[in-house]
Amino acid sequence: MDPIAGTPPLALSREARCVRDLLWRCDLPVVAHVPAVLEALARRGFAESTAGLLVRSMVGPDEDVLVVVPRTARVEIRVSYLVAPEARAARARALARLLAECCGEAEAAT
Amino acid sequence: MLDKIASQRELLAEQSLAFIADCPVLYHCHHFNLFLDQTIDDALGGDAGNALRTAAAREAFGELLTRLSARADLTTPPERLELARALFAAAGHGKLDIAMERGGGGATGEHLHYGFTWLDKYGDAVRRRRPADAVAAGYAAAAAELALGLPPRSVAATESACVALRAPRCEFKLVPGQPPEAPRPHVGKAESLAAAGSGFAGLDEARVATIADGLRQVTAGVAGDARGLVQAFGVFVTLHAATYYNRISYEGLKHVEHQSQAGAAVMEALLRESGHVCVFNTFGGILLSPEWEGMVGTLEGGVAEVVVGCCAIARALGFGAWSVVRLEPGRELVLRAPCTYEGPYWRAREERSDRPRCYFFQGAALAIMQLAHRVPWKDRPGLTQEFYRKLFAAGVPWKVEETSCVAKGDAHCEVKVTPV
Repeated sequence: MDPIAGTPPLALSREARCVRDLLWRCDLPVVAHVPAVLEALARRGFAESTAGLLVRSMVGPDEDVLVVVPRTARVEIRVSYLVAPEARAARARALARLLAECCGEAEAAT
Repeated sequence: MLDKIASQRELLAEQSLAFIADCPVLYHCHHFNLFLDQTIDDALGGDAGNALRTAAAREAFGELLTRLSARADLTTPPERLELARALFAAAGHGKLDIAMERGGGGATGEHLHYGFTWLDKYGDAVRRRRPADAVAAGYAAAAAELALGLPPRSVAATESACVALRAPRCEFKLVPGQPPEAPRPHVGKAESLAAAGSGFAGLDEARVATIADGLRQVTAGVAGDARGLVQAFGVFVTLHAATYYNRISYEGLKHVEHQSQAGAAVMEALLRESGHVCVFNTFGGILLSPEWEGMVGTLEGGVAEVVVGCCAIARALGFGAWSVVRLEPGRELVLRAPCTYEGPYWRAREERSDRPRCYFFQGAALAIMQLAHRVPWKDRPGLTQEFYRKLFAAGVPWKVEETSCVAKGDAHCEVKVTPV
């Protein structure tokens, strides 16, 4: 269990396209929970900025972006380029913990 | 203001060429932009390279802003400067504030695409000696000319401080009253159609067209953030003037040709390499992106899948209607386009060429073949600069030949990639 979130952590890895720790990836454990996870993100101040429903983009209060593929539950974490390079990995881990919390809420709601 | 700009966007669908107010535009990433600028500076020397890039930006964006302003019926200096600021930021070039009076003026830039991304990409390893933002300098000059009704191409612009040189922000001096640079022929839709052949239904045409349409919907929604930067597909993206790219490429090459044929061959190779840089970073980034996974599906990595996908990406970015004429994995790739974004410029401004001139198309086709055969896509390889060097620095097992080119008067542009 993640000691901070109190929920199972999500595996976090750098995206293949990651340059200077800006792009990270994790996968939500249950595809069917994607809508509930998006709602949980919205409750935490993330605003949807979506070009098409095939991909859902959620922009956080600090300009980090979570891009979710509903069909596969892949999430790309786009850390804001305003974050100093040495702090980007920590920001990505914090966002993954946030996602894990949202997954926990989605699980509890079903 | 953004609505006024958006209403002037047009697409020549059969040619996959995009325009704003009849000026050709396309998307390119910071890796390509920085590489091409460096190529020009290496070829001409830093001062002459900077001068050419500034003049090309002033000309290309001056024409775009003038036409856009006229179509939007903007007549006052504040309206025109607001248009310039809005377009610059929406296109991902950063924030640029221009203060100009008839006697002179200046501009201040924050998060300018070139300086900011140069610092981000190279700042830890390289100490730069010259400012990076010739595009912003030329743009500021053009905007000042338009706002005050000064003669086109008569304001000189100099970047006096640059974030790439560790300044807190970029600053520009604008000096009016210079001898106007001579006008050059316009390159717009009519000139592009005059140069272009017909569309061609190649391998998996329906799939290419469908993916390209989907990607266009994605790019249509892309706009500068609060700082006027666009971060998409793992790169910083600009909507840029094709005339800028073409003028610096061809005028830079002509300059070198006058000095040395050997030098010209090197520069042609570098212009082709700009295609490698773009395909590896931007095309590769799109193929591995969640947007691609959501729209097309997870990339399996088949040769035809990668090649067809790359043609769709090229169309969506405004590079031309690239189609696959022939693909034999391991042996041959032939791509055709009614014209590329390079060809119409040559046809409108230069004499008929005795050889093909779509250097970017040539390099991109070779890079597509390399990506299709040498990248283990299923393993989600890191698209790092180390991997780029491994793929392209030495021993590329393909050669490319442009067998038809509208710059020569041919009916279309076609490139063939075969093993060395």
